[in-house]
Amino acid sequence: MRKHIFLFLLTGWLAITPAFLVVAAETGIQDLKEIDPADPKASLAIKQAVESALAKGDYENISADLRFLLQHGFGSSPDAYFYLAYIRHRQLESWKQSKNWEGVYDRGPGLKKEIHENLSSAEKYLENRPELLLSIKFLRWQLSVEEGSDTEKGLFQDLIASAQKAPATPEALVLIRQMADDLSVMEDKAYSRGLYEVYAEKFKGTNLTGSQLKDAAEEFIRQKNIYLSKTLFEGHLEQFSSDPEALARELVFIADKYAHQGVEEALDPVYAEALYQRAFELKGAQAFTPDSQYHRAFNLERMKDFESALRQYEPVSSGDPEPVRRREALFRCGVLAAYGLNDLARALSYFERVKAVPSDTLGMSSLYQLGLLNQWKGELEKASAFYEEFMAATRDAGIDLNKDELALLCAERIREISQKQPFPYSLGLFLEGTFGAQGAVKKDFTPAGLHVDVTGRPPKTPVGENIVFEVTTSVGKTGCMVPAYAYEWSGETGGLSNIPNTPVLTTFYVSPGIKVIHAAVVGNAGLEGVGFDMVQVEGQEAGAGEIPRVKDSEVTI
Amino acid sequence: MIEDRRQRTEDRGPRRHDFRRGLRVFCLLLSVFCLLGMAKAPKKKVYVKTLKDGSYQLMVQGRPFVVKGVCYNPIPIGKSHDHDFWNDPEKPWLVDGALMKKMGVNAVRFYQPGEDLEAARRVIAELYQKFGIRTMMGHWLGFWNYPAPFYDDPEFRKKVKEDLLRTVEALKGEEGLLFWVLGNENNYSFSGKVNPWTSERIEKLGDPRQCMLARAQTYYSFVNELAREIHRIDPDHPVVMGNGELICLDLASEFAPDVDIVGCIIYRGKTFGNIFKGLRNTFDKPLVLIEFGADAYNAQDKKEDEDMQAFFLKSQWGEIYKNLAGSPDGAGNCLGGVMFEWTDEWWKHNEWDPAGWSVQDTASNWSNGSYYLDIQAERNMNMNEEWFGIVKLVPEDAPEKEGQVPAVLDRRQPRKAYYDIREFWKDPKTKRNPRK
Repeated sequence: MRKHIFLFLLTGWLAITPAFLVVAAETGIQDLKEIDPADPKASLAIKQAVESALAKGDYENISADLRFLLQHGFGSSPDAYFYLAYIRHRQLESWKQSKNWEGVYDRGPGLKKEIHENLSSAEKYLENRPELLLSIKFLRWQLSVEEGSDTEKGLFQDLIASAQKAPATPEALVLIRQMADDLSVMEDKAYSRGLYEVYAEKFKGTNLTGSQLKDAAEEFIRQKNIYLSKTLFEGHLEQFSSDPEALARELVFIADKYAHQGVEEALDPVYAEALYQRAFELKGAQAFTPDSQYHRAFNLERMKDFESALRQYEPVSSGDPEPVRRREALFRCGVLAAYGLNDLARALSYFERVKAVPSDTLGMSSLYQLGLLNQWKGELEKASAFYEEFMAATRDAGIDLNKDELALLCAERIREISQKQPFPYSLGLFLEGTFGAQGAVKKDFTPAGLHVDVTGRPPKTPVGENIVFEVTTSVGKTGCMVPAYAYEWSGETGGLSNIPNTPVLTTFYVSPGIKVIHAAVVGNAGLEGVGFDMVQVEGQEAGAGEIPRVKDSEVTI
Repeated sequence: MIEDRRQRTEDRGPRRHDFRRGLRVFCLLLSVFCLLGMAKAPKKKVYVKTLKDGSYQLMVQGRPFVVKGVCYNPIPIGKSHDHDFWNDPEKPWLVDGALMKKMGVNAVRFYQPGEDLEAARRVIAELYQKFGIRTMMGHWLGFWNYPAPFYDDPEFRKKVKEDLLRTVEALKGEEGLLFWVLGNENNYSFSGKVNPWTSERIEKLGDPRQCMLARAQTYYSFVNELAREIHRIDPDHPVVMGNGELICLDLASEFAPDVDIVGCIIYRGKTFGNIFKGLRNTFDKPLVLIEFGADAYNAQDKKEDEDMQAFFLKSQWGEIYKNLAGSPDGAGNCLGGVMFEWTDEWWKHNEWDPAGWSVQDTASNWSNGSYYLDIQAERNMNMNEEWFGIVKLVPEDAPEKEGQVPAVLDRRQPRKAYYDIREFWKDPKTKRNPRK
């Protein structure tokens, strides 16, 4: 039985019309005017007749029928009064939908008066009908919101109190859930949360086990009802309050659900980090599985909290059982240290550790990064050596130097060094904005001007799929006059032949690896700010002409 | 002796007569002077009164006046900003004026009159005489000059000044005139990021902050000079200085003390934040929000959203009313507001492409996080310039006339905000405004 209630609650509302009218079996009553007030099916018949009329957009005939009923034996029927009010409210809503503003504003006040009167009558005659009482209170509150009435807060508290008092029948639960869903589109989420909390309390009160609560919460995640899923997870966590180890484990398990994972957008990365933090406070690093530790770091990286991300990647780089992920974490640490924290020396040390196994994609990328950073520092011999090492390794792997993107970039850098040429404009700007003037690199250099975020979506994708990079900036107030910026992209810009000067760059990559892309934002007065991002391109095993992907057994780090 | 006395008396006769006459004249003059002294000086038609509690109240012909305005730039579908609507044979202001009056609008803001000042005078007169709607007449002060406004160039300033004063001379006698509005968001150019202008003198300063201050000083001093000239020519109408946000108004208080009213252009979404109290501290002048509002296109949902626009506008008017003179909780320095704008303008997105003028573009031109309901649009570009109208334009099929370009006024269809604000003005209590 409990399982049935559970399933009904999880799926029941999907079959219900938006108007929270629970339709049961046919009553067999054909003509509303023929209903006997003493007939136990009368309420249901009224409901069905109203639904049917509203579906056809008929407001006047059904209202006339209900008024007829009031004069013929239904004078004390709360249903008739409620539905009269309900129909008028739906009529007003339909005018709003069709943008019949003359109707809403000129005839609306009359209709609202009618609604208020009918709701009062419905409440007056109501006895022991908790679901109908909820519907009345909900409609009364909706009306007060629309009227901007001062009574609105009080009426909502009244609704919450009635919901709390209502018995936990499946019908009442569905109704409360439906109301909460309706309110979830409101700007002030406190309304829907109030009802979701009542719903969750009642839900928990149906004697469901902890694991059923967890299942329900996961189901709500699938339905993208984030708030309700969180509320139920919190309920699920209560059972572990006396067991910190289990609680920490569950916190991490739940956090993983909301954190950035790679392909899809995270459900709530900030909430995820708060849960990770709680787990860490309970049990320290032990609370985390290797996967979770990696997820936490990646989540922070995507949140652009580079310093914290680097801190969380450190344990991954040293303790993850998977060598590939250890190297990936190290590489990410290098990029974050260089372009996120502007700490060139620290970045070099990370890349040095990754290049220890240069035959994989990360090793090759690290060689390029080492060359690039040394070239910026003015250590041209060192830079050349790294580039040459890269080229040799690439050649040895049978890769076409004229096609591989990093090989082409290396060749360009080698040429610059040999011909004593500066970096290309876009790359030079980015590095200048990151580290200060070339050759005068200093730690903690902070470029003045805009805060620039570069975000690639999705952050993990197969070879050949499109990735969209976007630059967003913290522009000062200029009204509707948008400053004219040029967006200078550099780094691994992928297979796109013409790089636009726009804030959006859509590209793709033909080889796997972690790709580092940079952008410099240039305004009238010169460089305004810089940003970067990393995306992970994943592909099939290396074939001819591709850089071979690393195999676990080959890695010794 | 007697003769002497007579003689003296005779001699004194005319003198006494003179004395009496002089006394009479003196008394008369004294009475006249007293009466003149007692009588109040003739009131200006429009002025700002400072109340005992320090609040500012706009007075128009001796009565308090709250500005309930709209920016008015009735560019028809298919035309661009250079369209001369002042001479439009369809006279859109007659249709619009009637709708505005029904809504409760009492003022319109024009950004600048066209070349034909007589046409502008006629429009001002008709709006006032037929609908009681007053005009805030603006002037760009050359801000959109190509390649750039050069406020540090005496020749440029001279030209702008001559053009402005010509306008003032031509229109100052119109009964429907409310204010002069100088500039719009010209202060945003001080940073050098938008409509940049400079001079050798300014460039020599080197430091960007110093350059910005020099631009501000140059511009505001010029505005002050213009305000003084207008006061000399037309003492009946206050001078409003248009300014984007409160940016650099601390400098304006130093260099433009003669402007009467600060006119701010504010796009802060649901609230104006600390602007009213902030202005008290930076440049304590009366405030008219000469441009604010919200667009009616939801860039996130990619569809028209009249609810969204109405929601923002209603919240904004609530704040304006809270800060009028006599309102207990506000700063008491607000004289009213001017919504942006009356009708949609279909030319704005791609103004150089005539084909685009007949299409209401849904591409966004700028981003503003304060309009949070659609900020999750692609690249956060959520502000849709062609959708700010309180009234939308609906193309009408023009009747074909042989050999004639069909001309017909686009149909006006009021959006939800029209009715919401109409109701608010009827009963301007600060109501709760939860967003559904």
